[in-house]
Amino acid sequence: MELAWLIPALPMAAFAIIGLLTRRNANLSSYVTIVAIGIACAISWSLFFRVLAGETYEAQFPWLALDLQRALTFGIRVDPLSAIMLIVVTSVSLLIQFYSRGYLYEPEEEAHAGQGHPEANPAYDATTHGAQAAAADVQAAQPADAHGSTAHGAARDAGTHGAGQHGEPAPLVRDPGFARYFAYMGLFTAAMLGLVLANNLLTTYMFWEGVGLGSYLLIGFWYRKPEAAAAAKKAFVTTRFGDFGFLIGILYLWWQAGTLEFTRLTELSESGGISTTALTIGALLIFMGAVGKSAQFPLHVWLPDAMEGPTPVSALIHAATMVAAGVYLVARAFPIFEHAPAAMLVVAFIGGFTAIFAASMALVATDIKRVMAFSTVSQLGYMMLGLGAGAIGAGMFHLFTHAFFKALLFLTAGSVIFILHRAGAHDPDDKDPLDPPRAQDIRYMGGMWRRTPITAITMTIAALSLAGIPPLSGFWSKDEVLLATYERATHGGGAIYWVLLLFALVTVLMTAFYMFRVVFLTFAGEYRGPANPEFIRESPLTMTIPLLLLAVPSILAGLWGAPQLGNGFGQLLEGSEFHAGEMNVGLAGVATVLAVLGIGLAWAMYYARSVSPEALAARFRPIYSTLLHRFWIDELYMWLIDKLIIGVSFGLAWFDQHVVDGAVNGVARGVGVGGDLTRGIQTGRIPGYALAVFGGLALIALWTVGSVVIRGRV
Amino acid sequence: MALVQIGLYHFLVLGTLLFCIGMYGALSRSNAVGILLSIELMLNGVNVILVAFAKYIDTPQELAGQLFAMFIMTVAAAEAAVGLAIILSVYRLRNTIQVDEIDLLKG
Repeated sequence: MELAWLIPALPMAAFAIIGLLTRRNANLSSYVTIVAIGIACAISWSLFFRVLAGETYEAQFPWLALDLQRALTFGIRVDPLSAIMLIVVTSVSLLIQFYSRGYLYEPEEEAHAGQGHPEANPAYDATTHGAQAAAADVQAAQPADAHGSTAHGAARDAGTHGAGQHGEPAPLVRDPGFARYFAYMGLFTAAMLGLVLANNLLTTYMFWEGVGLGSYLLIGFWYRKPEAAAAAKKAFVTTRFGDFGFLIGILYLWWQAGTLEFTRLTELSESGGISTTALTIGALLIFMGAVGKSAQFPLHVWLPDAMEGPTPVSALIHAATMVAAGVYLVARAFPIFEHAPAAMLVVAFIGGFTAIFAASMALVATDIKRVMAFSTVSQLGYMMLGLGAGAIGAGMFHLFTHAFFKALLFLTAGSVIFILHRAGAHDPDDKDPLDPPRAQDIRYMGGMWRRTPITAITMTIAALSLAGIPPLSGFWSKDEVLLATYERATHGGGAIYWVLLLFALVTVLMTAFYMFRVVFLTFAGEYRGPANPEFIRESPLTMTIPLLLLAVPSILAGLWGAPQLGNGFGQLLEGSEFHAGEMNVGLAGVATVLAVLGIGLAWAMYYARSVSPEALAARFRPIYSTLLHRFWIDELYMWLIDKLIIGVSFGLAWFDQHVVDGAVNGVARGVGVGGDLTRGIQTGRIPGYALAVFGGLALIALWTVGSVVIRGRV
Repeated sequence: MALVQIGLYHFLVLGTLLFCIGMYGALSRSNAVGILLSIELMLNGVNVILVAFAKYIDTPQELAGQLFAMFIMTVAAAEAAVGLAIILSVYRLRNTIQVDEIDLLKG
């Protein structure tokens, strides 16, 4: 237990070592991070088993003494909640490090051409690329008459790929930022582990910001790509917006409660040491931070854009760790929320609404990673809904299982992108700038099932798990969230929880549909993209082994929290407060039927083609384009910034220039004028001054004597 | 006609007269040396009053007045020396000691 501090310290040390010593040696650098996270993972597991046996550990030292009694402390705490998060974060992170060693390669010519693809022509006609466009690309992709490097430019100009002239795909070269990537990974993982271990809000906040920094660096890893740089900035600024509320919440709780330690805050809120109003305000402010980090509505906008980062980064940041930090924070501060019913309602509502809202956008997204991103936002909404319904076990259990199958989904998506990229899926020069790159666009995939069986099978497993098909992981945790909402609705939660339950059930249908839309479009049918189908081959072992390893918890992790098997997860997490819940067979049945329905719908539309998606899109064009444009939220924010903030800024600038500066300059000018008026008094002649001095003296003397005389008379 | 008994008030009037004459001179004279002389006169007026008070008023510190007078004389001597030196320098620089022509302090 005393070794707990090593868990965040080791990856941090890896960051320092790579940055200072080994950054020139890419291979060594990657091993430094892998070894550091590996040891941290081993420690985490040993701690976890001791926590299972009933131990907890807390250590802290005063960090900043405010006065004799009070000090800001820096401390760590290992209890069931943090132990569960530790094993999730370290295990997933470790697998992703291995995977990254295979992923961070690119076809050779790309490296010569610099980072990223050439900019699309902005004058490109923005008509949607339907099946015809895809077919044309396929035809253009077939001939391989280009030879040597000179032909490459011509081939690209013709909108074809330039890879594989001699029956082999272009050789892969390592990404030039390889060492930097693993340094950032160490930094990010360290911050996340510190956040998990923190025993008070201030320590949490410090690592919280560290996580924000790590994500900024990783999302912007390909910083030469303007979209990636913009996405990193957007993620950072948007989450900072929530962090602002979080910081105020910390200060507010410090003012109200005089402590920031979770255990003390728990005692105080349970004993009524803080008023309900104060708890509500504090809880809502903290929740603001969680909304930003966990990409809940209305601060969800950064997450889809954050897909510009390398895919393993998305798997780590946007599946298992950073976005889970918000949920974890609410779970950590749960006693505060529990005693503030209004705040709980807000959490539940934001969660439920985000779940359905994000899922609806995933229905039409064509970028394979964006679908995953919306799916993540939606699932995080589920977790928040579970917490808001008062079931910390349900929310955290969904976080736990989701971390595995969503990481697996991202990694399989990364594998697909990697394979297509390697097979030469280049963008045409006239690509619509709004379209995702060809290697990520599910409209330009298909038929990969036979060539990439491991990727196909593992993604299908993860998709089944996410859709909530029993007995996979996602089924059990999603069922708990639904059950918690249902129980809340029937036990005095009010009509709003029925609405939220409806949201959650509709989301089940949507989730199953969009996941299997991706699966069918990617793996079934014939290949429709620009890459050379001959070159579509399974990813290397460094990538497929993590996929297979992650598939295991995606299938089995849910059994730990299954009611039939005693719900060990809930028992561990809730301790004495745990009461074994019955499984609601009716509710689980409805959810399963909805999931199967969703899969069936996807099968009908994208496999059997008995329902035409294009016809549906044309029929419901307003809805379709609303979803495609993500409810115009980004545009709304841009409009707000453009008109409102810049308008107000202009007003303020005018005020500053004319009123504030005017006042300052006016004072100066007044003094100048006054000086001009009075300078005549200063003759420079000594007798004049002397006269003034003595005249004044005489006047004072007269006045003194006079007043004495008058007082004497009276 | 009996001789008027000389008392404190006479000394005070004398000192005040000396001070006022000196002040008039200091204000009206334009020659720097004259001003210096007038200031000496003012100081001596004050001295007279101090010594008179010391003589006619019973205080535990009998010598306080005389001591003040001694200090003033010392300071006056020093002042005269410094003042004359300044006047000399001013004369060398500006070729005049008429104070109404020396108006470098003008704002």
